[in-house]
Amino acid sequence: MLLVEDGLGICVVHLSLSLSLSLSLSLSGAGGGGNDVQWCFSQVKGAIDDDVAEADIISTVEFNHSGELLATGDKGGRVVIFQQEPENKSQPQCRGEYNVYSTFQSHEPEFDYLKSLEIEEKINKIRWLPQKNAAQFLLSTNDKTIKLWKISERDKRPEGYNLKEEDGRYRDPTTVTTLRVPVFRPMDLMVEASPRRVFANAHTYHINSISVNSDYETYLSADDLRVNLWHLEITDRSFNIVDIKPANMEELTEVITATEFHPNQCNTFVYSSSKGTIRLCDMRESALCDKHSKLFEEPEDPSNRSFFSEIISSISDVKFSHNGRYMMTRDYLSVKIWDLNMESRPVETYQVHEYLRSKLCSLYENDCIFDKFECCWNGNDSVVMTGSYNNFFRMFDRGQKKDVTLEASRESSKPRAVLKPRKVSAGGKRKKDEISVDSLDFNKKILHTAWHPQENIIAVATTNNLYIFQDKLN
Amino acid sequence: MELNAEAKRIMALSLGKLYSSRMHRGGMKLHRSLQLSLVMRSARDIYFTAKLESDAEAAGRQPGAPGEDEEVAMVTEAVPAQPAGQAAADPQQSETGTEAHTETELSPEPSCAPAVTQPLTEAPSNVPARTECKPKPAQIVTPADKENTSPGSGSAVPALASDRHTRKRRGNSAAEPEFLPSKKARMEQMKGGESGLHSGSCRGGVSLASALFRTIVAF
Repeated sequence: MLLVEDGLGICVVHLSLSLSLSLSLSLSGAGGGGNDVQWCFSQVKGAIDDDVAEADIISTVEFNHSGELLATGDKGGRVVIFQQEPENKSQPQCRGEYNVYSTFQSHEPEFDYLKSLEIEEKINKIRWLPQKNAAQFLLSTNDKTIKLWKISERDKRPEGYNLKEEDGRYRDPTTVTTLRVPVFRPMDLMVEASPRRVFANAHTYHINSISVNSDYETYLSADDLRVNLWHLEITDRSFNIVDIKPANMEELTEVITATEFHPNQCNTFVYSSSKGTIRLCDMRESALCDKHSKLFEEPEDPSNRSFFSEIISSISDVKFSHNGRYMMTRDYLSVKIWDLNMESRPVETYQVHEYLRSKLCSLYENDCIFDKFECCWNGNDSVVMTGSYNNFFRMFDRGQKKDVTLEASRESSKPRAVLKPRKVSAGGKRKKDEISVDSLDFNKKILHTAWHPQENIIAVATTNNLYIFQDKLN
Repeated sequence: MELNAEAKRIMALSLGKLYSSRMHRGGMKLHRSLQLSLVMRSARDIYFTAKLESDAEAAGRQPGAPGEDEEVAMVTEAVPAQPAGQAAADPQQSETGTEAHTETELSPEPSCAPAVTQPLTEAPSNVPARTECKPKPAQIVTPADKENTSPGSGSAVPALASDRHTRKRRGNSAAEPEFLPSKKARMEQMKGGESGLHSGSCRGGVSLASALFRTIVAF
């Protein structure tokens, strides 16, 4: 055994006894290491056939706070929850698989009679509540309505009723000669999902985000022009805390694109806009937080001006780091990390697919330029991840200044197969194993990704499949 | 030249997208409508900037032209139907229904006054209510534009093809197109003490929306 010191601290390195003698840094539990980590295929969920039913298109992915549960929402309004199997005692290095735990229909299509508009049942976001008792709670939302779901297990049932048979039929009272006390007997595990609260009729525009506060009592929901604050127990009232609707709609210049509460300051939240700005608001300052406390904005690079500069600067996702010191934003071509103490510019910028800058016109034609990519942090905030096209996804290691492009595909879906880094050739000479920009499949996009809060396990959603990858363990 | 054709194409494309977004399940998305209108405005601004340059160049080349232009400008149409917060100093613009006219050839047709691009604030659902003039013939020096210079990207409209189209069309409508009101009537109206070039009054006419719609149909 040796002690090795690297940028992430002192690690104990186990020399393997095999002939290859490969040294690997064991970072179990740290959840870090973008490029020292080798990512392996673990599982894929969803139908195999290429004919994708629209209802099966995954629209959101979210791990719960412990990472034991993984929830997905789809365009058909369904929520599927996967649960990680407990670690196998005989194989301690092998992490448990995720298997279906519960499936339920969260939202149904509705019709707004006043506006003659259909309300899509597509699940836009799922957010887990921290676990307080045996049951699990999550918030799921479509364009107009947020619902609080309780997911509980039932593994015992009462047996031995006096007036009822075991199948539920009532007994003839005259046949009852003795009395007994019903007892609980074990049964096959049943997972039930029940809607505990429905938060409706508070949004005129389409809801794009929900975020649970660190006080675990309130949460916010945001649409294009307004942010509302709710109490989890109260459904008939919400407080409007941000309203950017202009008096004259013809003067509208920007909309809200994403919102999030600070992870440990319950009075602070941020919202991003279609103009590429992020506003941080403090709810202690005033009831209506139209006036921001901080405005994060990077001046535009004039050399990059084009027809589409304005729309590609629109922020599609904003996420605080776990430690609450930084936040990450995703716009069409890049990921930016901002220090909350510096508003003038981001501290780090990572280009996700810069080779698309010269293709913006085609991407506008095929509507891809409107795709809203999400981004996520790993457990210790050292690596960030986001999706791209051709079922590629990218990871950026902030500490080591390295990045990698990986692909979620059926071809590399052999158990524990190590993912090979991919490369896109921007132009000119194309090296072997590189893919040219023109052969990228823009129908295969990864918009939603999630990282386990503690381990190096990631969930990556392609159009209708969910891939689970984990780091290679020795 | 290519830039202008590209700008027009993008405006037409955006309009098409705006129309089709009304059919989407769940209704029109505000964010998307806003983005579409921003692109349209960008394209329009770039188009007019390029036009302005070309007009200035042409004016430089033909010293006699400016006076002629002014007179003709009074004559030609100012179109937009909706004020949308426009200032009174609205540049005189003529309407052209056939967007297909390009600037690649010298033409004996009258031109309009240089269009001054004014930043307008517009609602996402309102299509910018501006049209361009019958273009003054000139070679426009296109500013370097990143995505328009990408070779083989497949996204740029081959200028040649549109030229072919436009030459054909121009032949047909070299005479007065029927959607333009007659000059004679206009002159008589204009004599009625208006402030000339900068008259803010527009004849309720065809808006950009239908003009571009015609473009889509024409294409």
